[in-house]
Amino acid sequence: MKRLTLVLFILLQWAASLYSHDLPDYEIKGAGVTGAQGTYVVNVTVTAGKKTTDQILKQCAVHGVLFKGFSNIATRQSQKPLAGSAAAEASHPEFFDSFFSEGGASLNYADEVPNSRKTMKVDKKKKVSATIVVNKEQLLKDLQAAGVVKGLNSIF
Amino acid sequence: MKYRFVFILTLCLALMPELFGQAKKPTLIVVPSDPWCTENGYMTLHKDQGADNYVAEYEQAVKTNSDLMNVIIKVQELMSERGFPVKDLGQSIKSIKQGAARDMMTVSRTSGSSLAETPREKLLQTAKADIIIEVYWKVNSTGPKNSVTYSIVGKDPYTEKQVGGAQGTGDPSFSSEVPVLVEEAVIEKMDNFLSQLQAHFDDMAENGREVVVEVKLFDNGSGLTFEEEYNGEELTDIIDDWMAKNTVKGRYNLSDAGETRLKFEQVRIPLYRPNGSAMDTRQFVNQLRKFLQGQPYSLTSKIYTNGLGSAELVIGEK
Repeated sequence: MKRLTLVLFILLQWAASLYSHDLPDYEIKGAGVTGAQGTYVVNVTVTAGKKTTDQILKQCAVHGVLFKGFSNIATRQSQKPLAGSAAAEASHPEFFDSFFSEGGASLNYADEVPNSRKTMKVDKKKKVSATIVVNKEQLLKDLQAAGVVKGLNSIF
Repeated sequence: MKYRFVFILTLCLALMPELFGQAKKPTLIVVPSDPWCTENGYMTLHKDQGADNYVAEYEQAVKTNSDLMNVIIKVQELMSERGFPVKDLGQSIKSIKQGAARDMMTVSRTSGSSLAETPREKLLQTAKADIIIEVYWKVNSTGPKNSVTYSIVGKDPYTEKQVGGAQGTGDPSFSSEVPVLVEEAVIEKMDNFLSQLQAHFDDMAENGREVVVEVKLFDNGSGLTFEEEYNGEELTDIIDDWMAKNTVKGRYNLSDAGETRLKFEQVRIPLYRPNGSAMDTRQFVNQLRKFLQGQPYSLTSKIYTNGLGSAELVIGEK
C-alpha cells in the first residue's frame, strides 16, 4: 500500500511538472521604438545552457511585460508591469503554469521581429536576444476576462 | 404555484448581484492643465475685489485648438479601450449651456411659473467629474531635433489628492512630425497612469471610498453650537463617535472642529450599504442625519451634495 502511494505521488509530481512553466533567466528592456497602438516592442535576452527557441523568447517577453515591466535609460522608456506586480502570478499559479507551458496561450500575444535574433557565447552558456512585439492590449483584455488580472472596472 | 414561486425567487437571487453588486462608478473628464492654458493663451485674468483670479477658458480652447482636441480624443480612446469611458469636455460645456437655455424657457401652463433654482444650485452648474484628468505637453526643439514633454495627472477634486500620474520627455527625433511625437507620448505614458489609477481603485475596494464630510449649523437664532451637551457629551464628540463607528476600519480625520462647523477629511465610507446597494457620500451623511434626528438630540438637518465624494450636513432646519 505504501509503495502504491509513493508511486502515485511520483506520478502526480511528474504530471504537474509537465504543465508547470519553467522559464530560463532573462532580461527585458524597451527596444527604444514605439510600436503600433496596443503593442509594446521589447528586447529580450535569455541566458541558458541549452538551446533557446523562438518560443522561449516570446514566452519571456510576455512574462516580462506582465510581471516585470521594462525600461531603457538611453531612450527614456519605462513601463510598469501590466498585471500590477509579480504577486498577480503567484495568486493564480495554475492558470499561469498552463499559460506559459510549452505551446501555451502566451505565444498568441507575441511576434518576433524578423532578423532581430542575436547569439553571444558567454563562458559555457549562450546569450540569445531578440526583439519581440507584444500585443499587450489584447493580452490584458483576455487576462481580465479570465479573471486573473484586475481591470479598472473590477469594483464598479 | 409552488414552482412559480421557486422560479421567481431563483430569478431574483440571480439578478441580485446585477442590481446591487456594483459600487458607484466615478465619472472622469479630461481637461488641459492650467500651465498649458497659460502657455497657449487660454487663461484669463479676472480682478475679484482687487485680488487676481485666473480662469481657464476651456470652451475657447476646445473650440479653437486642434492639438488639444487630438490629445483629448486619444486619451478618451485609450480609456474607453480599458472599459472606462470618460466625459467629453466640449460636449459637457455644450450640455450645460443647452440645459440652462432649456431651463430658462420652461414655464408651467397654469400659472406661467418658471423652474425653481436656488443660488447654490446655479453655482454648481459647471462641468464637473469625480476624477479630473489634466494633460500638459510642450514641444522642445534643439537644432533640428524635436522632443515632447508630456504629463498626465488624475486628481480627486473632493479630497484634493492625486490619484494617478505619469510624466516624461520622449526621445528626441529628427524625422518625426510634432503631432506624431505628441501622440506617441500620450500612448506611452497612458499605461503607467492607468496602473496608478488601478492601484487607487484597489485601495478603494479594500479601505472604502475616501470622501469629505462637513457639518455646519444654520444661523437661525436657536443658539445651537457644537459645544451643546447631551447626557454630558458635547455634540462634536457625539458626531465624532458616530464617525468612528460608521467609517471603514474607523478611518477618518476630524481636521477642523469649531463652535459652528466640523470638517471631516480622509473619511473612508463603505462602498455598499447594509442592504447591498451602492453607497455614496449623500447616503452616508443621510445616516448621520437620521441619527441626529432621533432621541435625545431631535435635530432637524439638511443635506447638500457636492458630487460622489463630498457632502455637507447643515443642522438647524430644512
